[in-house]
Amino acid sequence: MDFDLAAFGDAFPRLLPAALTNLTIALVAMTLALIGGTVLTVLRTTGIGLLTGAIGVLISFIRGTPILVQIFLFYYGLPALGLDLTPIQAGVLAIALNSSIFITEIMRGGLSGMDPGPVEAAIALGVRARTIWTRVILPQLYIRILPPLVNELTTIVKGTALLSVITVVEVLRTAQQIANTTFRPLEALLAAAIVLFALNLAISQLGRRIETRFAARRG
Amino acid sequence: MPNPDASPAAPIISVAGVNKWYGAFQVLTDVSLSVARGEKVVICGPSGSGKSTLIRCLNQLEQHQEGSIVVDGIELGQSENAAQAVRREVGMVFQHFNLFPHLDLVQNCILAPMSVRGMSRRAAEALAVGLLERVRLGEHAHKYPSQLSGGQQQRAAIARALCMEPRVMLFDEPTSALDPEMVGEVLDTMRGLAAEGMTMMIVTHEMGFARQVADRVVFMDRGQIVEQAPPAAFFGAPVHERTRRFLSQILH
Ligand SMILES: Nc1ncnc2c1ncn2[C@@H]1O[C@H](COP(=O)(O)OP(=O)(O)OP(=O)(O)O)[C@@H](O)[C@H]1O
Ligand SMILES: [Mg+2]
Repeated sequence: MDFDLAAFGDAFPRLLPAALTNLTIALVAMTLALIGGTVLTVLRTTGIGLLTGAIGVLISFIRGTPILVQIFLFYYGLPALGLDLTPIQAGVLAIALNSSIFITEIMRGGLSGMDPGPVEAAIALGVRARTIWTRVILPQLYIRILPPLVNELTTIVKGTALLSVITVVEVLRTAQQIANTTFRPLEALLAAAIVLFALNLAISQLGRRIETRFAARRG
Repeated sequence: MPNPDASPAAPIISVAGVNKWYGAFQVLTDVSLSVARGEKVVICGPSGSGKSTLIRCLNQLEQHQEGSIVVDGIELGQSENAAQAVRREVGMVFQHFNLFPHLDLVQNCILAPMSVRGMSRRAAEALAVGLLERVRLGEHAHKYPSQLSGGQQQRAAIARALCMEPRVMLFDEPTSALDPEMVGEVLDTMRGLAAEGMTMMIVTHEMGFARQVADRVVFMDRGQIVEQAPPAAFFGAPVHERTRRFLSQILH
């Protein structure tokens, strides 16, 4: 068997700092996706036909096309509209848009199973609709959908590796650079996979802890 | 024109000729009822008779289609502002408590006083803690609803409603989701409230409580008020056949 343990080990000191790029991109994209997903979710409940129709089209478009194509559209397509983005900006936006679609679907599922009682109580107390959303519905909803949200974050982390194709120097692209100089692609790529796997493992562990902390508040 | 609100003798709730339909199904038929300040009215009747619908119309959780409902001088159905103004004065307690599960009891209690009444956090918290103590939940003030028994949750829900300093309290079967051993503590809390002079409308099948606390018992059937009388007359000499049949079923 031809596996160069030294080359494998040597990859980590360069891959670990690169993983910080993946993590940062993932966290920024996740934050934007949460905001986007929340806005879409609230808009979808307005019952304005044109709006919900447009959102429906966007959802099926994003779900029905490869995320790689969406990333290319943001990076190579938007400059044609006069919007020049750095690779990282384009990547973050593409991933955030993609993910906000999945998050709004998660949120819709969470909403449909939610007890309407607390909202009714808030209405009876005279609380305004906007405050009901921000103080009653959304906090309950986020707590309820914490597990699929954590899962979505791990999906995003995996997606950040795709940004290697638009020249973002993250874990996968770093591994390719290492392989280009050492001629040991197996060792470098395996190390990259392990780094990303470890990142996601940490995220799911942390997610489980947060879930436990919020258990009493799930109702 | 005299303001009906000016006279303390004017009813605080006045329902006149109310009709309401769900599609083709008429759920309330020509309902008229008035409640004086400080009065305690118990509403009973078979399942599906429209009791919940009636009291939910009083704070416009449901909207009536015909007739008029005036609460504390404000006519409902005119505008969303009217509904909001009424909700500020009318507290409601639900069968399933409907506490905010993600908030502890104090946070449950201060949400509306802060966002609706514009109270400061400090003042709202002081009010909340005081009312939680009054319903004997002082030591649970920072627990979440899921950490409490049904009886405790319902008492917390009462405290939450009282934090808005309402003039009227509506109760929709406040004890029917409770285990039997917890019914007493909630009814005791309600007795205390009644003794302090709160105007109360209570949908309940707790006839012992009705006998003790109610000034008047209203019997509904098929969307109509069939009979209303002070408890002694209502239980002692019900006039209508439907009332007698209902009472014999419920009192065995
Ligand atoms: N949103 C709704 N749409 C259609 N029908 C409804 C709706 N809400 C209530 N109803 C019907 O209206 C009737 C009265 O309901 P309501 O809940 O007021 O009765 P209730 O007297 O409170 O009964 P219960 O003792 O079971 O609580 C019932 O037949 C019910 O099925
Ligand atoms: Mg009912």
